[in-house]
Amino acid sequence: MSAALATFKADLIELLPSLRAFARSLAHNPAQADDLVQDTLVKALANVDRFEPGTNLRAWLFTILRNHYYSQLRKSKREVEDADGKFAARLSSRPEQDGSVDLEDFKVAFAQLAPDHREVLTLVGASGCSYEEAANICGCAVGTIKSRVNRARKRLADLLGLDEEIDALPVGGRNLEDTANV
Amino acid sequence: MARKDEMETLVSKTPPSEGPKANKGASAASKALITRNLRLAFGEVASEPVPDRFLDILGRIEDAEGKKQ
Repeated sequence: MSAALATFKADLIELLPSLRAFARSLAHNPAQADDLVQDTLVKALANVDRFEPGTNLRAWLFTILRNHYYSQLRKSKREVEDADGKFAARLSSRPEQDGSVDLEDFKVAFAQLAPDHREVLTLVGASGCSYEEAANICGCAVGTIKSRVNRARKRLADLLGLDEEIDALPVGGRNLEDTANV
Repeated sequence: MARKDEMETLVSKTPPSEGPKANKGASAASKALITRNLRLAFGEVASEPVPDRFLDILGRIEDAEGKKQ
């Protein structure tokens, strides 16, 4: 095996845990997620000569995985059924006094997000991708990623019942200057 | 456009710390909490042992290379 190929393989093995975690955030179902990873690996190996050594292997793999996920989604529409099922799930508890939430509740709420929201939150929030890297993986502009992250966080905060005391502020409590011009 | 200028003046007059945050997105505390839980959930999966079948697939790299030569 060539040195370049040996490096490719070693790097790929190192990235497997985060590739699986990314797949899990998209697919929900662990078995479906691992099928995604398996298909991604097969595709990566089939196209290994298209990968330029020294460039970002993580972004390359994540891109293959997400493209595969969305093409399957278009074919099966299974996600719609999954989402319907997930909406029946209820959080078991309210946020704690200190504002913390139960991790299982967090996962329930996260699973209710749209795929593009789960995707950006996982890329930027969990796996530590830069906005540029996430934009590269999702094939869109950096500004799109930023606004999508903001909307996803807001939606998740709403689902978790966070920030409710702020929403509940009476209008009179706001700066009048801000509302006068609306 | 005069209207746009007015709005920009209004925005710049409001100190960042005083502007209502409710319609701007999640609060800073919520963002921190979300990021913490995202990392926990992601870390949970990432710390699981990698199934052998993935390593088996990677073993094919050598096989493919061997066939080319």
